[in-house]
Amino acid sequence: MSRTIIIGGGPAGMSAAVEIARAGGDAIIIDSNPRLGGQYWRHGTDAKFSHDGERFFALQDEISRHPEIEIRGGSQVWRASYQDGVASVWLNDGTSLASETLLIATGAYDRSLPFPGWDLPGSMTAGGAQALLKASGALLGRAVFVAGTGPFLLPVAASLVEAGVKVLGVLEANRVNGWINHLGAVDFSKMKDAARYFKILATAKVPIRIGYAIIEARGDGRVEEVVIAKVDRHFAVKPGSIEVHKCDAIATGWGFTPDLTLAHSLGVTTDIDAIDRSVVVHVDAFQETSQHGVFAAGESTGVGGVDLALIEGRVAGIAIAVQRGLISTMDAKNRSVGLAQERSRIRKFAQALLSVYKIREGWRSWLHPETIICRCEEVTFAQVRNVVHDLGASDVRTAKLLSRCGMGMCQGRVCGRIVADVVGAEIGRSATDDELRGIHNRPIAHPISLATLAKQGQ
Amino acid sequence: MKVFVNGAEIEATESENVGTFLLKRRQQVLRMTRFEGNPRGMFCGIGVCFDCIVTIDGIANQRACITQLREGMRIEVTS
Ligand SMILES: Cc1cc2nc3c(=O)[nH]c(=O)nc-3n(C[C@H](O)[C@@H](O)[C@H](O)COP(=O)(O)OP(=O)(O)OC[C@H]3O[C@@H](n4cnc5c(N)ncnc54)[C@H](O)[C@@H]3O)c2cc1C
Ligand code: FES
Repeated sequence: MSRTIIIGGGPAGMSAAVEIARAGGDAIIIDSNPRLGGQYWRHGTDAKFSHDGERFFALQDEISRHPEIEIRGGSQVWRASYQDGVASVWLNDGTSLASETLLIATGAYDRSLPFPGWDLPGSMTAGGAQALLKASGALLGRAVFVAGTGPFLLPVAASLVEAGVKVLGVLEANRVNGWINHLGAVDFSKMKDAARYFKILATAKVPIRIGYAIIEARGDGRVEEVVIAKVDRHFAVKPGSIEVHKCDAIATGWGFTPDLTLAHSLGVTTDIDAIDRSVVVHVDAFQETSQHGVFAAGESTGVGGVDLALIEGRVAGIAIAVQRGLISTMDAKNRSVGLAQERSRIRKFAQALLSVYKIREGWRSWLHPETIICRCEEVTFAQVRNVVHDLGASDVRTAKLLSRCGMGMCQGRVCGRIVADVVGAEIGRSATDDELRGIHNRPIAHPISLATLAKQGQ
Repeated sequence: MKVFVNGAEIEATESENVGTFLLKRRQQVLRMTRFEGNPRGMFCGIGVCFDCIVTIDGIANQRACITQLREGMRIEVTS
């Protein structure tokens, strides 16, 4: 059997590699980042910005002690396929690999909601702001607002404060008063983290405003001010609550979207999450997908954070070792003690968070006719309405074809879900499961050069 | 290490990506959009959104946020 292919060198991919190595197996980790660590451990050479470093270095050291684990950094998988029990991947350096065992550990990216001015320079995703900072200490601005929903807004605001940015406010759109108790009831370690972030924010006198949202960003060629409003339980603006504040950048985040592009190409069965209706890879108790030998771990099976990604990675790595005949099932049991319980505990916690920090449909009332919906193709809200009401598009696919929404370079990664929800609302029904799955259908995961294509054809 | 931004030679000390390198030099705007000519900068920061595309060594549409600086690299951005 050939060595296991691991796509994604984040927490999930790294912990799987460690288990495979411990079982005496070999693997190759492919990641578009030059370094291991994924989105969570995105640190520069300057260790100051490394976060939760001990766990990272423990994993990295163990991987580096095993020469049979190859790390192919700075390499992107642009295509994947599955046939007769063999998974194949094509890399942007013109090479390709095939194996009977493959792990999808491709993680997630920020989920965004559109609002007037979200396309101005200075408007970034919360994760993006964090990524710049962690990677090289770059700051998105000097005086910024952090807004959206979810527990992730707190660490982002706290690290900006620590880096010397003036954080003018953290705006949480959902009514989460008392949520810290809620967190603590389920996960004590998370409460300790949250308490630390609150302390940093309180010391810097950063206002944390619950039930508020950025509903507009304005400026001449870049963000210069924001419009903030109090929103109700459904995210609709409360009359008379509008405020305008000067700032030079904003970071907004609305949770995360699992990256299913390659999973889709590999033909694995997906589920629709009952709470937020995101598309996630369906896995069994061993993290194996519907395709024999193809496993998935981390955010691609549903957003659950770094601790869940680490556990799922370990479970997958052990199961891959069994499938490859490297260890017995008895041995696997000994290596897996406690993992299944811990996984189900964190998954429950993640589901609880998802329901507290759910995106409520009233965000659509923030849109103006000229608000950009598809950033790549510059399609406005008015144009999307037009294809539904004047051109008669009665499903998401037709609306996309007629408006070009989601047909640009990002292939609908940013606006796919937005368009599905906006079009659904305009035609008076919610997007169907198939329409949601269709968002992730991208035969070419990332653009490649003609030279690479030519090389691959040889 | 030397890189060129719109032809001007700039000393780059760290190994970092084109996007953060430019941001630290106050270059928030990276390009103008095709249809409306509106300015855009980095949005997702991780290679997902394609808002940060610039021309690097003559090749258009390279994502600044995931392209590492290299000695002698020529970067063209909206000035
Ligand atoms: C921008 C961003 C910043 C975040 N910052 C934090 C944070 O500070 N704290 C926190 O608790 N959580 C953070 N998260 C949440 C994050 O999802 C973590 O929970 C954790 O990193 C998930 O681990 P993972 O292994 O599932 O995926 P990831 O860590 O996302 O790792 C997936 C890896 O797969 C690689 N990959 C994906 N597709 C391909 C491909 N086609 N070819 C090659 N490589 C590919 C990616 O480059 C990435 O390194 C962040 C998320 C994002 C999107
Ligand atoms: S900022 Fe999104 S791809 Fe570079």
